[in-house]
Amino acid sequence: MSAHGDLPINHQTEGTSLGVPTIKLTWWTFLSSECMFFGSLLATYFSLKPNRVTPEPLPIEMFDLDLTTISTFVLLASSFLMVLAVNAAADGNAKKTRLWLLATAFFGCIFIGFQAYEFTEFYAKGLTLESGTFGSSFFTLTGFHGFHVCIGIVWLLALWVLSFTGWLGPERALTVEVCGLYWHFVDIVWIVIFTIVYLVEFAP
Amino acid sequence: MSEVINEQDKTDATHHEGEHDGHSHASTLFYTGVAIALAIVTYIEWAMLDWDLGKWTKPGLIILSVGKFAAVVAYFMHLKFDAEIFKRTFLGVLGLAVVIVFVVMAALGSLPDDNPETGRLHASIRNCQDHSDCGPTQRCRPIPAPKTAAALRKAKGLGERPVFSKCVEVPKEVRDAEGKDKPAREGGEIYAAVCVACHQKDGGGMLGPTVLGANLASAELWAQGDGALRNSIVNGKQGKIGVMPAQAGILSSEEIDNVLAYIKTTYAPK
Ligand code: HEC
Repeated sequence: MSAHGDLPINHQTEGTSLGVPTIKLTWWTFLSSECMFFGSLLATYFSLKPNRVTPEPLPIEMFDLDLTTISTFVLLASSFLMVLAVNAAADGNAKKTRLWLLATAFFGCIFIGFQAYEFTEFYAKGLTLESGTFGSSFFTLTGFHGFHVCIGIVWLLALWVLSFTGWLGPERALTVEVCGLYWHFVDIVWIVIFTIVYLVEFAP
Repeated sequence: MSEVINEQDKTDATHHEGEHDGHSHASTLFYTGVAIALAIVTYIEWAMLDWDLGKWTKPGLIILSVGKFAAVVAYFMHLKFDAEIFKRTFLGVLGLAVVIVFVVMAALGSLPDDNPETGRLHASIRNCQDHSDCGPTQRCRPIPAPKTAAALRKAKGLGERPVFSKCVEVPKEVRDAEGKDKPAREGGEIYAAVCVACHQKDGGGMLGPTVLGANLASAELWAQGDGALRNSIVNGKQGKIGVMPAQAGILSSEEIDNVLAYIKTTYAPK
């Protein structure tokens, strides 16, 4: 997408008969498979949810919408910060790239903090991985999402650390962009979960 | 086919133009706009639960979230301006994933809220039915809808959703006081199953050519004393009014106590 095409030597965009950077195709392919992954978790969640066979708390007794809405804002904001990081990297602005990468990771951590709080609350109120079909499918779905966020945080922090060694030069703009693709993907998965798992539960 | 190529050329052209003149400032403004729009839509999603949109709430929520999803993919992930091969890969598999989700849910017969039967079943399993479902120091109590979603309180009266109940700790005095009406409650079920045919819902009995029952609300009847009445229930009675069948082989002694307690609390003149 960006200025890396103008650079004299760029091993990241070189050597592809498709005319697109192979690494990006790799990531789009991977993210497509992730759609399948989260799709099956969602399908399982909705299939199991109405068939509760053991007494366990109901979603509407558990979900705290106000809290989850705030954490959704946080994740959306982190996506925006990621956009700034990708833009800064494309402009070759190392300082700004570094700043926005760290900010994105920080917002990701806040989101995970909300999730950790939510999970602890749920456990205290009797919803656990073993409490029944709602607990199992809910924690598997949102837990895997949280796990993806954690991977993203590690990736962002790794790029941030590497930026100090000079490794993250302008020729690595694509690396930041690919990390951004992953981060935004995690965000869109949450957009879906937030609506159809949380909000719809409260709709008449 | 040629259309596709043209379109790609066009986007490529605008794309390259953008690269050369200070694109990052213009686009930062644009991305800020997208981010603000996303935040506003999220706020609307949260707030619209309170707007009494009835059956439009769910479709509304889903449309808004599809919009958010599309905006992030198109702009934040740049798919709108990116190469055709990325679009085809991602959107193709995404479409397939959506289809598979619906196929799996349809196969398992439980699209969301599509199955009132299992819905009720799960609610009744989840709720405690009575004290026997709870611990010795607990009682089964209805619980209010959660406070966090004002919408739920408004949109769903207790009548619309099954009354949620759960076991709660209850002090001994309250338990003792409650224990007193337990036989009558259980007796009510027996009355409804066995006695109601002859004695009727209002206990007034029934006068007719074939089926007859005594008026359980008559003061005369209760004047005989509980012991005599119990005896009539156990052994039956052939009197002026008709034949009261013996319940000895049908109901247990405890059940007879319970049903007697029920008719006493319900019909006996105070
Ligand atoms: C087949 C109809 C029938 C059914 C079923 C029936 N009863 Fe009766 N019952 C009668 C009739 C008839 C009498 C009046 C007998 C009489 O005094 O002539 C009567 C009388 C009574 C009396 C008054 C007895 C007395 O000593 O005066 C009581 C109490 C009573 N029934 C309770 C019950 C209860 C409790 C049940 C359910 C477990 C029940 N009945 C089921 C027909 C029925």
